[in-house]
Amino acid sequence: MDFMSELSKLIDLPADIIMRYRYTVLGGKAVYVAGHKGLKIYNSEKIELKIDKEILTVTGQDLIIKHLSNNDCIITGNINSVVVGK
Amino acid sequence: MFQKVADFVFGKNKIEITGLNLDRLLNALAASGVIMRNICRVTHRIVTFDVTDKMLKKAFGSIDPSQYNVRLLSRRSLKNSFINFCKIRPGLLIGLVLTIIIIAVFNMFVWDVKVYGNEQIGDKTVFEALESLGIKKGKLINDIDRKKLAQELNSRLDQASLVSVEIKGITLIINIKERILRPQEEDEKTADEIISGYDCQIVKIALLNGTALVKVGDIVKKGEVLAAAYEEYYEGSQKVKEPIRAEGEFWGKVWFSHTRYYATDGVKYIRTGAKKTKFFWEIFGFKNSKNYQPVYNFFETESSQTKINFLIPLIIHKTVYYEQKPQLIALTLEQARELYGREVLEVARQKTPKDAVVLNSFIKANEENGLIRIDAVFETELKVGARQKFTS
Repeated sequence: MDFMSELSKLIDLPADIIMRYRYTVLGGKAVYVAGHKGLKIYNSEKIELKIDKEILTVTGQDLIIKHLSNNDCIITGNINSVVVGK
Repeated sequence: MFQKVADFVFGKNKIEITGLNLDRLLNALAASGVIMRNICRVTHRIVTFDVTDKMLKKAFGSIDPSQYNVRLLSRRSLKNSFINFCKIRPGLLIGLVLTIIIIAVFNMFVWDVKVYGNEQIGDKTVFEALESLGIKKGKLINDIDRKKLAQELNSRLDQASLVSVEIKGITLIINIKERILRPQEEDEKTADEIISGYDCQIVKIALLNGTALVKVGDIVKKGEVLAAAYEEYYEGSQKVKEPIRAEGEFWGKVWFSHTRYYATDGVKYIRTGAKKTKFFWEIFGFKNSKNYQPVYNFFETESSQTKINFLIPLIIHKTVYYEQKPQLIALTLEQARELYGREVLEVARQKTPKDAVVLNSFIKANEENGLIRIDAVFETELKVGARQKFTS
């Protein structure tokens, strides 16, 4: 567990406020990711985004990046899973 | 809906990029500040996305053309739509440009002159003064020195104390402040008493000095003394009569009338039903009127004009000629009153002074010695006091 995660646990605050990234899944149809560091893999079934030192993986069907800027990303489509891991 | 409007205003350009390592390219574009929308990976070598007009230039600047093949699939924006529309309909563009040029050119000239604030000075006098200074409809606005024109007008119009000139659009506005003339000082060579200027019935008296010889309701003749030039008062039991110049106003009811005699037979012109309508237009003072004479022996006309001030000041004149035929009729008193009453009344009206307040007017028709007598009367109220000049 890194320092930021420990700190969020210590002061009893949600991790996404302290963390440098944040993601929101909207009804299995869209994912909003703020604070990403760039695209790693992109195809219609799997999108991987670099976030901090980890990778955010979105899997599903007909995935489209609705909006991509330096900081934010909106992914739409039929989303099966959103996983954050190394 | 909102998105569509935003797309139309800011532009929506669809780009197709072919090449390898497209993820890296997208990251590089995002890092350089390009905001992409609707990114779609068509194949592993082709990606499409939408950008605004502003982002399009940035995107093209960030993509290395030696590594990636870039294709602009569609362009949708207000600017492009306008350009495309103009390409399809060049006539409309030419018309638009011509309209703007016409408006711009015609706005360089004076096409209307308005005069405000004049009561004693007639509009005609002002227009004549303007014309003598070379200002008329169609004069170039830039050639008019407003300050100089105001000064010139001020010197030419004696009764004006202040003249200002302003130009609003194509209208030259002349604002005049007229000189307030001091009430004419009493001529010393006039009599001290006030006499009646008309045959009248006195309705109001406001006397400052002197002795009133009439009272309200009295009927006086022209020249009769209304206020005598003395004052009477008692000193103890002795009545003192002191000469003083009479001062005051007398108002009276005055009747102005006119009488005419007409034959009992009259000619009445009645419309046959046939008519001709003629139009002609006027633009910037130029008319295309032709001297038209209808084929009718007797006719009357009705004219009207319509002003159209959209882009160019166009005036359309319409004249309707109604054919008439004369009919001999034995006039009744009522018919004679209707037929001739107005013209007799008009003559009576002309006799009425300008400062008179018209209380009533009526027309009477009577038969007299085989003729019809028409009397028109104006009942007015006005100041009747006057001074008689010494003849010696």
